[in-house]
Amino acid sequence: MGEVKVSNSRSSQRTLTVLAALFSFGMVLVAWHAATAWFGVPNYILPSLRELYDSAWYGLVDGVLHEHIRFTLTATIVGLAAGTVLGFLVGVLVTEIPILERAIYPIVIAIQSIPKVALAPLIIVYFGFGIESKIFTVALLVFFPIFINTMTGMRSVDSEMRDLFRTLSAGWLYTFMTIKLPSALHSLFNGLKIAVIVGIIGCITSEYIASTKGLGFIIKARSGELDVSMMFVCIFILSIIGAGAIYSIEALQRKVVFWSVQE
Amino acid sequence: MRASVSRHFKRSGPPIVTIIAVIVLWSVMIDVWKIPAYLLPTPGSVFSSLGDGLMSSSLWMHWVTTVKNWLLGYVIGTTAALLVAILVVQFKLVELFLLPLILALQSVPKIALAPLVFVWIGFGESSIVTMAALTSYFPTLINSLQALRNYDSDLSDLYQSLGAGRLRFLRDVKLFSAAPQIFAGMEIGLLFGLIGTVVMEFIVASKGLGYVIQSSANSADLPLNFGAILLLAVSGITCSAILRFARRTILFWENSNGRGKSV
Repeated sequence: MGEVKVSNSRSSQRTLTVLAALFSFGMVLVAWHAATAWFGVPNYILPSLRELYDSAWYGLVDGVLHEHIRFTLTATIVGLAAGTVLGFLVGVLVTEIPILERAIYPIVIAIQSIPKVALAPLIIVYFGFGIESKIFTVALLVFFPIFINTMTGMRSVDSEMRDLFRTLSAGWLYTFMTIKLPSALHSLFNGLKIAVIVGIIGCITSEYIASTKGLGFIIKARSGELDVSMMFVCIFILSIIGAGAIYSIEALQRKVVFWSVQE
Repeated sequence: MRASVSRHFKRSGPPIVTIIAVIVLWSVMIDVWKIPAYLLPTPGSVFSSLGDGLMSSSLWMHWVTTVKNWLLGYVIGTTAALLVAILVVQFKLVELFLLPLILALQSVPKIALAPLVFVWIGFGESSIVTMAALTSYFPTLINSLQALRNYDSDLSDLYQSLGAGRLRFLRDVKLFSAAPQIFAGMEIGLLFGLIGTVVMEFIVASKGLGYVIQSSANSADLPLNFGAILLLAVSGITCSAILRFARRTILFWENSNGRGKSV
């Protein structure tokens, strides 16, 4: 009996939370409409909801934004894949060779405190205005969190387990596959979540600096014409891309490393 | 004494060797393959360009501007984050109605807002401070929110039974147990703040290291570009080291591994 009551109050608690959230979002829309329609906030500060709707329609249904969305997505995904693979491989290599680990690990930790986006203009000098410079910037930014998290994961292997495998003279590959990789995976997924965020930052920044395509390019270009409503639409799309990516990584993490995900 | 010196050398020796090796390899590569200066400047030219810039004080001005705007924005963003986090955990109503909005805003890539901040606030340094505050705000906020809710519920019962007020409980228990995670958020916030500052300087383009980096890349003055990136690196590494030192000093009980609060 008691348990039913508890779950009941929990579900009513959840309903309350959802209702409050809906109310808050509704209030934001009302305030937005009031600000633009009644209080005369100019549309280069806040576009009216009508203008937003028109821009969204123009961009998404008429398809003006499609090639830019494709450009940003391609650059981010390719860069993410390249940076992840490289970061993981180098991470494994460096942890397996103790002298390299001692020589490089402290430097990589220090590099964490450096804003790597500062390299974006230089990368454009090397690779040009096209998609190559975006891919390279993303890959560079993604490399470090993956590298560090792979190393952290590999180092966190239970030392007794490692001793056991060594006593039984297990081979390198076997040891790697059975104890090191599983222990690195959890940390690798956490790195991937950071990687997605910094990867999107890298792509947008590179598109700001010099590009002819991409959502970052549109946001920057529209700002020159005070077309704030189109900027909002692009920012919204980027938010969806970011949130979607984080959500899929978390879902994948729960599937793959099901044993170590705490609720 | 001697033991500690040699241990110190053992830890910092390999990375120093690595850095020297990289610089030597860098100069040798330029010599052997005759890499032109517009592709890769020699280490010597980078340092002399850095020296010239700092002597003639124009680079100083940019450096000081960047660090000043970054830290000012960081202090504003972090203070706001702590206040909002405390409001959310102390007042149920704020949590119900404000938290959904906070979480929705969290998934917006803050870098995508840079041109919008530019449209809203304009050319001045205040737009850079705003961007620094905005980028450093969320990591601290999210970490504080998580941490402030994780307290020992036995202590909560104890304080309640002794009739202690909510403010007292916040000060004595919640903030105390949340401090490590809040600091972790502040460390991430510091770096994101610097990223925000640099990207905003790319866009506003009138002052600061971000401006120097971009304009030197445009005019293919790579020694200056490398030098400015080096200054950014030094700033990032120094400020996060200071923050970590502050953490060790304030949270002195963290160091005495497992010995708890008995210091």
